[in-house]
Amino acid sequence: MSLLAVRRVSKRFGGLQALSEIDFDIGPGEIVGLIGPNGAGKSTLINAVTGVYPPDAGTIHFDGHELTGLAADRIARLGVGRTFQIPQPFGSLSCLENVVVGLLFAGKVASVEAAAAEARAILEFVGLGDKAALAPGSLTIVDLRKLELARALGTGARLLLLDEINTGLTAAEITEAIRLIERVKQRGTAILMVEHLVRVIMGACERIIVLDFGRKIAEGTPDEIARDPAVIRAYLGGQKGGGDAGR
Amino acid sequence: MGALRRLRRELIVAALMLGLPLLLLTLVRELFVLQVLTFVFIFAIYAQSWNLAAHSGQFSLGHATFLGLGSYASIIAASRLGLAPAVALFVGPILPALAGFAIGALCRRLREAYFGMVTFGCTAIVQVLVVEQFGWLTNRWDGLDAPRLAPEGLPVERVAVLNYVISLALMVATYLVVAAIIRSRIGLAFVAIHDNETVAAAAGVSVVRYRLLAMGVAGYIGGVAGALNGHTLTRHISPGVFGLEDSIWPVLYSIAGGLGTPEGPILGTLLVRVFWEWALRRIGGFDSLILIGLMLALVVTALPRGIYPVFARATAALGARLTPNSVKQP
Repeated sequence: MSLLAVRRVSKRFGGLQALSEIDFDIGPGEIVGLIGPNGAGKSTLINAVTGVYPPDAGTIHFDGHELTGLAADRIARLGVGRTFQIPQPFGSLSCLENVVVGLLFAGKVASVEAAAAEARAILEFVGLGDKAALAPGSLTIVDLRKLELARALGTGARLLLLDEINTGLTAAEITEAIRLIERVKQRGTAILMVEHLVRVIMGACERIIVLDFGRKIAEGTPDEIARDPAVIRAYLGGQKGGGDAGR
Repeated sequence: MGALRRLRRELIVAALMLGLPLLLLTLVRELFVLQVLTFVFIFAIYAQSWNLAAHSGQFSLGHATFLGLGSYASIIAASRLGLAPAVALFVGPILPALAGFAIGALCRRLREAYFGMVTFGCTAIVQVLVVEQFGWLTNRWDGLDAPRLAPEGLPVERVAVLNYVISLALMVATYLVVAAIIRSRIGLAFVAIHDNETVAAAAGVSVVRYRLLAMGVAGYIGGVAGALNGHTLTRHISPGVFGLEDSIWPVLYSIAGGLGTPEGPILGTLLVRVFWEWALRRIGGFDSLILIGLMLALVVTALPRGIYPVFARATAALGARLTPNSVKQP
């Protein structure tokens, strides 16, 4: 029984077919990678699942609920959490309050006090325990990514969609981030992670989906994906070259 | 209990806000001073209404809709339905509250300048509705006389004192209501929406519902200010209320005082208005307009977050010395 079932999802922006007939499943507690060259439709797919850009065609089911046509906040309350590619904290709130928002409105915590206590634990968990009272404006990019993750965790999500959470981090920081993501998975949360860095995703994911020009061109284990001729062509044959793939 | 503890600081501020003007009342009985301060109390309520909407990212440029509708509805409820003005004062603002929901729904996808433009346009539409469609009820451009809040037969000085005390009490009550909202989970939703609607929705906040709530409550509070103004100071309402001026004042008061705090609009209204009255007497109309423009330019360049943060820092330093275990505000 899959947690997330995406069937024939398409999305068009004007003349651009951003997604065409995407199919895939994610099981409970599974960690799946989503890769593809720039403009392949990875973020659009995340936006389609989370209700930011509802798909033009196709259906998305999460845990027995039809998500297609639901508002983004409703989808968040059903248990689909996400981070944004460019960290977008609530700038007027402290780090702690950033997490409290998710806990109160999607995580179904009743009181502000209880949410604050839980938010503190989540900030500890992601490694921001000492920054709870700070304004997000004073955080480094690594810490902002951790705050994105903390807010998403606060929603009590059973499925987390992580949009390029490692971009812009150093090798050491990436290792730390991956360890963190694995600990999130151990809590039983299913994860779909969008990644530019193929090496990172090969190590972290059990299964990988590859998009190119809005189409799913491959799906399989990291080994299968590394040998797949269509994937090699998409990464080496495109204008982008193999720079990203080798990092 | 938790809510009361969270509002401990606000309760102290409210006690001061109530106490100091009452103390002043025992010292000063000059009619003019009482009227200026009554005006400040009423328009601080109005600024509070604008500030609450702005707290959720909805920068209205048509707030006169609420001020005017509250005034009209309360006056009509008092003179046509025979309600006591003291009751009509709270019944009338139901109309601007509904208008707040309607305008909020109309503008639910708009932000910033676009939101401001449409709210501004709504004021013009409401003016036409009031004058033309409901002319039979509103006496068109001539407007309506308002029954006064104070009982008949009271001497003028006593009326001024009564208006002063009632407006003050309502200002402090509004302050506590707004502070309670801002410090609650609703206030957190407002700020999240203000900062980023997409992320707020991703965190589970029902963006449209909370935006409408903010506009509805702002409509009610703005309506109370309008009704109070009609029954105490102006004793008359005419469609001129739906002009640009009454939409701009609460923006100026709030920005001068400090956005996003429940204290800012009150401090801003007091300072701007007292300065304005002083300038009018000493310098005269046009020159004082220039002067107030200069003052506001100075405030926003030197203190972009308004006067209140400076004021708060000073009082916090004092407060820390008085209460060693005070809880730090988040």
